[in-house]
Amino acid sequence: MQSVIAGSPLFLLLYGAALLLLIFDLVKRSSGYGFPILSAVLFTGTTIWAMISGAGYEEVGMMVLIFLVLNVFGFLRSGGKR
Amino acid sequence: MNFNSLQFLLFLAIVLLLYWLLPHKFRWALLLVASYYFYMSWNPQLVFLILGTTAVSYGAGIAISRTQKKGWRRFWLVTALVVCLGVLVFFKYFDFLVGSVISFLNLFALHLDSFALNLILPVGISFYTFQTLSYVIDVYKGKFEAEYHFGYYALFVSYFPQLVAGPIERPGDLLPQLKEEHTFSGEDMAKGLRVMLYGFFLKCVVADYLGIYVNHVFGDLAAANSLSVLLAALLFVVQMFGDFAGYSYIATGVARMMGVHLTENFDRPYLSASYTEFFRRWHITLTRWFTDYVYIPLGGNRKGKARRILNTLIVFFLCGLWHGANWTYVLWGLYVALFINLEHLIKKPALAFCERHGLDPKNRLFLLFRRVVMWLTLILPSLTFRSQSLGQMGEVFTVLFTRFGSFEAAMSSLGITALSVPVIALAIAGMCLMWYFAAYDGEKDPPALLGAEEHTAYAQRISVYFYAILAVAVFWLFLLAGSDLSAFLYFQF
Repeated sequence: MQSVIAGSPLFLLLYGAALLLLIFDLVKRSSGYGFPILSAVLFTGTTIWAMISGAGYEEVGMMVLIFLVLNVFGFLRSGGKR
Repeated sequence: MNFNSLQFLLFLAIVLLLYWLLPHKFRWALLLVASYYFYMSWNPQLVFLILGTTAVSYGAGIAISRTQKKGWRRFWLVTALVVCLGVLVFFKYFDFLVGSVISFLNLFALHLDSFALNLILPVGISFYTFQTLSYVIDVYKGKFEAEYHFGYYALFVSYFPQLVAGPIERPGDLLPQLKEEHTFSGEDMAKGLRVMLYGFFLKCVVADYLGIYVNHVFGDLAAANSLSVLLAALLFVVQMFGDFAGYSYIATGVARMMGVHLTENFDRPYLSASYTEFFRRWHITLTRWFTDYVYIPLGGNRKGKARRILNTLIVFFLCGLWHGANWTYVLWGLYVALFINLEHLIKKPALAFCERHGLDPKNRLFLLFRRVVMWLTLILPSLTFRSQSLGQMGEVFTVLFTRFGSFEAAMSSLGITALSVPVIALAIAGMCLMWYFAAYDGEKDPPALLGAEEHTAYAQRISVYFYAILAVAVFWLFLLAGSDLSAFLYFQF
């Protein structure tokens, strides 16, 4: 079965942008809300669009897990303190 | 009412709201009604069983506490043990015992017809029965004062977060907390939510998703080969953890939101380097129960090597049987007992060998090697545990040891696609990393992977919540769509 996300440059671009924002925030270790919120909004919008376009739950699940793992890793890397 | 259902989430929201709105003196009544409602959602008629077990153990506790005469105290103890265990044995093992006896007698060409009552196994019976037994035994031994308030005692037995699959609580740990007045704490709510979220992640993302591939192999063994069975065994090992630990974490999280601290039931068991260590980290409350109420009264390790071996065999025979009325569980228990006994036998010679040759037994590489060996030795017992019958177990082992097929055939047997592999890897990575997130207490640092740095953004913590909830929702919907949602595996025990 062809992947809806991997088969569309636009989806890859949007997810890539969300990922870049997330990685930038993790590397910068900022205490602001801007980058994480922007990344999450972009991710959510892209995901909804992908699901409407016929992306399977496994594809979508994989993208969610990638972002989750990166976020947890970032949370731990900073000691998890407020 | 499964934990992984919208019905339960709604039920929980209502109970929590009422719990914190009500004055302390009425909370026990709310929780008791809620717990019985929760139990009756499985099967209303079976509520009389838990009520009966509660009444008998409550009465026995009071009777024991009211007399100093050893004979009478023992009489009430034995009465409670016989009645409570009798109910458990009857509902759980009657068909199994009768069937086994008939099969045995038929070996002598007696041609007896099979006979079964086909009794419904009451949900949670193994758990709440053990909980009532520990209460009566602790009262008898004088370790705990009998509880005179029937409402609190009934709540101790039926407390809904841990009613159907543990943790198996001791009266000294849970009863005082149920009677204590708790004030609302944001930290407890946040911690409870984190732990609950981790539990749902383990269940929906890890256990149910990996279970698809395990079921694929076991559902069609004719198409399986040794590689697919081997991989299914390893996936099942992770599935079991996700399922059972998932439930325990959800239970712990729910209780924490009410200010109640349940006993930790899992402590990263797959970091174990030996079976002895494994059972100190896996289903901790059951291990402790068998240690305190079976192993130590039998003499433990105080009566020589041979007796220790026998006691370990008895404990794990019973532990296997506790898991279910099936010879596969008994074999699982005996297999584990064999390994534990072997470990005890080689421990001293192994340490002496290390000392003689200047080897450090705590060396990281050596520890890693032991963990890998431990994982590999889990393959056989996990296949035994997963098998529905001795026949299926035999079939599985035959495939494992004789049917060497291709890699492609193995992937086809598992039902694995190109997309499955990264998803499985990410689910397992998420499982490992999220443990630290759930363990984070808010007051002290979790064990930071790359060293504690300066403050992280609050937003980053919220991001983890966001993506974790999204992951649970996506996989829950995915499995719902494919009807691959399963009840928690340990509900069958």
